[in-house]
Amino acid sequence: MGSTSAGRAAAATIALIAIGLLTWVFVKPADNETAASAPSAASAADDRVPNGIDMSQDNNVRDDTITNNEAADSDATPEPTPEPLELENFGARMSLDNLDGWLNTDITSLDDLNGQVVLVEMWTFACRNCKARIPYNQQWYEQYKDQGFEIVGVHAPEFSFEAEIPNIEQALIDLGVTWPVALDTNKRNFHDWQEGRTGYWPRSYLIDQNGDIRFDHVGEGKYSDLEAAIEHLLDNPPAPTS
Amino acid sequence: MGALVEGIESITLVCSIVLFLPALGALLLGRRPGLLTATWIMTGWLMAIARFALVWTEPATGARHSLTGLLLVGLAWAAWQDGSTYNVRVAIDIALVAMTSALVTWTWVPCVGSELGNIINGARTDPWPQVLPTLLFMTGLFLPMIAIAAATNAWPKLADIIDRWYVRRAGIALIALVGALVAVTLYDDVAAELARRSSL
Repeated sequence: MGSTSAGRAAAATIALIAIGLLTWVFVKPADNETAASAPSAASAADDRVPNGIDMSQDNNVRDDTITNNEAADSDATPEPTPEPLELENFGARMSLDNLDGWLNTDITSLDDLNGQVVLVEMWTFACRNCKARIPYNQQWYEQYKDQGFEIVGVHAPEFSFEAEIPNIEQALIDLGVTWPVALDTNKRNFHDWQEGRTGYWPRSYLIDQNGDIRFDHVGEGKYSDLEAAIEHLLDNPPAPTS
Repeated sequence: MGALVEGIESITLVCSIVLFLPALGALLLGRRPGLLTATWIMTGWLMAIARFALVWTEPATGARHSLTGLLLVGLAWAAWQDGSTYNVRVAIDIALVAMTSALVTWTWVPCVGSELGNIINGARTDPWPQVLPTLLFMTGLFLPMIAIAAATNAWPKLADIIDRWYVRRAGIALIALVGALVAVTLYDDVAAELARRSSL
């Protein structure tokens, strides 16, 4: 363990930390859409082109989720013709089974919401990334609830203190969660819904009026894409299936 | 670079606690901390990308998970014996650290920010472009481990402290405890208690 190698190791560590800190300071505000930066309708609208697609995060758009042709050319002409939003159909949703109850609602099954656009979100109240999505959900719930939109939070706790109902009820109050919450204490649905029984918090599924999954996203972000998908489904409900 | 930053941010997430307790045990093993840290991160990286790409879909519950916890206890016992030559002991340490990292990354259920979300969403359809971002994320997540390993190189006195037999045995005991708790499916509960006490 010579002094030269020790010096190199120390220098490399300092350089790595410095790069991280500089990136944190200079890059983060530009490439992240955080709860602190854009929960309001005005700010969300500012970074969107007329067809409703968020241009600030086009690298986040999963190609098999949303297709919006030539969105990147939005500044080429003053009045671009909006292309219709095309949402992938990921197939029929699963049901929510073996739950430990519901909070904030009288419904007892996801079937009770058939015919509505439903955002199903896997979350747990101690998860910071899950909490970051809540201001957006609040905004959409207020804005679209009367148009046939509903949110169902599937509360799947990681730790035992997150499984205690009084703690969950207090968290719903503290966080301002007013939409129905399904208690998935044993995380059966949390794992069953996610392919390969993987599990991520948060995970968002947008269900159309026929019960098909039309938007699927892991983690924070893609808020404008999700809002565009909600608006699209509310304005263009799919043809009813038998 | 955003993945590296989000990895650093994730150090404070309650969801990451299950990774850090055994990482501390790996650092306390003493010999070759730089090599062991690299082994830890590379193994965790491979397991993470395998999970994100749905190559590894074995649930972190049930008999196989518990059995892996027991195997980890066995490997920790082998490391505890401290016999044979130096090279063999280092090889046992590397195997112990690799197995621990794989087990806890398998057990880990991440809280997902926007960068890690991009990685996971992308890896489901095309994993290869997500390989490097995943490595950056894991590097950021274990930056404290890298810093401590580098510090042992920079300050030989610190290396001497970590190299003491009782510190090493504390590290082995910590890893064995993690393996035992995984085997009896109590590891998450212990991590929860740590999370609660640390008020994260």
